[in-house]
Amino acid sequence: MDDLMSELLPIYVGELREHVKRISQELLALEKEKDRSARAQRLIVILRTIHSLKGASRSVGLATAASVCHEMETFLAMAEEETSLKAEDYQILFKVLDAIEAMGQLLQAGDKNAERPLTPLLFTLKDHRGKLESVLPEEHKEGTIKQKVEEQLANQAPTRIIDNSVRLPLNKLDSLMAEGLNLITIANRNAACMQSIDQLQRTVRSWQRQAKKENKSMGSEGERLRQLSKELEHARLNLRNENRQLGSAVSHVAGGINGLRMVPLGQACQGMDRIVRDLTVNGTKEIQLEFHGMDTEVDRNVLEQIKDPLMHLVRNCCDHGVETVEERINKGKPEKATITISASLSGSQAQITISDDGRGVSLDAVRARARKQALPEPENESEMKALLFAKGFSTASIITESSGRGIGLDVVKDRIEGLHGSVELRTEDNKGTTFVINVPLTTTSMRVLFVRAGGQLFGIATTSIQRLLRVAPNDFGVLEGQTVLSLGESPRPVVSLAQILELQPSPQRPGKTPSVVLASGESHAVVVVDEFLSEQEVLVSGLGRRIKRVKYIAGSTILPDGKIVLIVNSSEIMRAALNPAMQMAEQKHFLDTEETKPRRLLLVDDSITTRSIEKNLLETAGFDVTTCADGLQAWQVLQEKQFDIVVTDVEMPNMDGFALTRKIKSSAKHCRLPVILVTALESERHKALGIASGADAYLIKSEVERSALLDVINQLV
Amino acid sequence: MHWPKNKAEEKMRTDDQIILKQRASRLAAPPASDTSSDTTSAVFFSIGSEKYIIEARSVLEVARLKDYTAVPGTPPFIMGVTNIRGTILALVDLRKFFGLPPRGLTDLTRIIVLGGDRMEFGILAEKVEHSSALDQSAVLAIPDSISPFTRKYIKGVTGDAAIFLDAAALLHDERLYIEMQSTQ
Repeated sequence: MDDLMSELLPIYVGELREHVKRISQELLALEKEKDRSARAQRLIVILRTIHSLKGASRSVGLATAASVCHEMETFLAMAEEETSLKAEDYQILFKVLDAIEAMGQLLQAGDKNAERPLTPLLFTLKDHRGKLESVLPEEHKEGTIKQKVEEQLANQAPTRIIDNSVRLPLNKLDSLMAEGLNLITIANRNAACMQSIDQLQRTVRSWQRQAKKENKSMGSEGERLRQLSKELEHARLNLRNENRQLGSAVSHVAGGINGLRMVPLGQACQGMDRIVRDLTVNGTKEIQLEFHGMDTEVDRNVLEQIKDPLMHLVRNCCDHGVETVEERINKGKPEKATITISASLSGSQAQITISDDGRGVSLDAVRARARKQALPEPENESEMKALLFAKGFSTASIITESSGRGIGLDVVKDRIEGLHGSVELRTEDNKGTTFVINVPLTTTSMRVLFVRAGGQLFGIATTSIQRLLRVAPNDFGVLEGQTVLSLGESPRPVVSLAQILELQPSPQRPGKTPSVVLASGESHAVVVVDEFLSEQEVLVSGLGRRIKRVKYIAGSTILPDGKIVLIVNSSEIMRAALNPAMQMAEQKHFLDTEETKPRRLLLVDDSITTRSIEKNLLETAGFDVTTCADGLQAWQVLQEKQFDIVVTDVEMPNMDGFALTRKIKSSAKHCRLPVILVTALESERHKALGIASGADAYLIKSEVERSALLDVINQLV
Repeated sequence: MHWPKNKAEEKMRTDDQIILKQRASRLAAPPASDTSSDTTSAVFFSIGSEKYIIEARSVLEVARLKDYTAVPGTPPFIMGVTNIRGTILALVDLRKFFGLPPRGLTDLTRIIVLGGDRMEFGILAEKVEHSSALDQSAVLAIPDSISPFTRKYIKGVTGDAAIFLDAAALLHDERLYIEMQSTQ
């Protein structure tokens, strides 16, 4: 395919989808419309749209598609001329539309022979037209009809609405969005630079004060210092002002880009009427659809993700919820069942309910089904609901074409929980079934609670948190060998986040344990963490191009300082919490009240990797580790906190390990504190320097094995 | 998680034949030094006492490692993720990737960012020596002492025992696409 074609095709496919959607909607409306003039209006719209599609198809060289459009035009006009279209005519037209849509998908996939779904339908259409023609009077034959159509089109055509919107390919929007996120990071880094200027100014000021205190003659140097301080102040104020403006501009731009991605929820419901039509075509059921609040806006990513679940739930209502006309008459219900889809905003979430006025889900039916599938029978309503959403469970007693094909409510639940949303079922015998779905408006930003677990920061979506608790040690109980927490309700399983994530649990602190109560639908679990930190609205990213999926982790967010914090997958954590294997292991950890005070260790190293490797090693060995990036920082920390031992690198900025050791050993307060130097410097001279500085031990990095370091520490403390 | 050695060992046995074949084809080919004096632009770096070379065209940049976040549930050779100007990048510890025994502590302070049109992942290095021309004739055949597993990712070695990495093999290796299965 030549370049021009490959450029035109995506545009054509987009156009095709829109036309097909339009024709579909109008056909559905036409089928219901009784008024003659209104029918004529709709027919014109349909014919015009088909005509446009025909032209577009021809221009990209899709001859079969163009012929199909042509046949449709003729067929429609002819059929409508004689009598109203019949149900079977609509059926054919819908089939054709499906085939055109299928062709669109093939085109998008780069299929060379994309028109193949159309060929059989071209024959069907021709065949059907032949039948019509044979019964039509002369003036309605093809030629005249076509003329009529063209006349109508000519009369109607130039009512083009001037539309001041632009069509934008999604990837452009996405890359704009990525740039927007980048902008936020840049603005944040800028703000961080601002802080270093602040710091610089403070330093200069302290020099000035020092000079004053020591009453040094202020000569030309003093004057220069004063000048520097003044200029710094000036630069600082300017920068601060600029920074503030940059910050607000960036947040407007980022907010605006986010807003561009918002689309009305109604878009996810397009095609539902079509599904209902197809499902009721055999006539045993009659269903009408009602929509409310379809202008509620969500991020298009959310929309894409909930489209299928919503369709599935509507199918579910049609198949299982709604009774046949006969049944409904017997029950004294209106013949026509109603399925209502409504959406509304609730906080930062959209709530979508899908309800029918059908028979409701009966516990007996579910139990019978469970027995058949050799699953444990549900005892009560909440167990029944849990079972309905379980993998591979379907209540359809007959496997119909539209549902019960393996995918079921479990998939719906997975999808919605993947969005950090929830789905719940309410049912009442003979009154109907309602699915209540809550999803965040956007997946690009989210409100999270930052917690520390196993020494690492994590974010938990606040929408999955029911409440936060601080639990006293003897409030935990044991039930069938599992650690549980009862809070006036039924006992809930307790797990530790660090343990689920296979992290080294931090040494337990005395006192109450911070715990997060996670809720999903009606199940709850208590997740124990080290510490609660702040709650914040954050922008959500993935884990990069190479880490596609990791258990228990849903994504990440970048903090203003550039650090990445992982966001946990609350639903997976919940599932793990309900898994007895996880809870059993828990028991020891919690009820172990015998507590030895961990030895406090100060670890100083400018390399982040060494620092974290050593920290891990030492924490595993039971130390309470505090880390510093250089000697100066370490010295400050030493003034504030008590330690049992110091492990330090030698080569570091600001104050090196030798200087730190000398400082420690020469101070009255810290001279007894053992110091271990761990260094890459191998020479004898350095070793001598190390010993001379007063260090208690001197280890060479390339020689250090974990056991060696621990042995040395154990000798000293 | 099962990333330990037995998998690698298993691989070694099955790879024996391939190695023999490779060796045969190497011997059959005329010595490289006779035919070309081609040079490749390459980045030289080290991890502990091991020296590595990688083609410069696969190196997008060399950055300083400021901070990283460990990701629970990933294989041990994934150190974690870091943020490079707003892009989240996975960090690979080559020694663990090659299954080398841990030796001492190394300061992995540099990230060698690999990729084509975009950043794919970073490999961590202790020191990035320099970027310069590598004379193809200086690249020698892979010695037998190198494990068959590691061999897949290596183009050769140099006289001073630096390992010439095969950037394409690393970039396309499926072990470096992390997709852990969900429990249920």
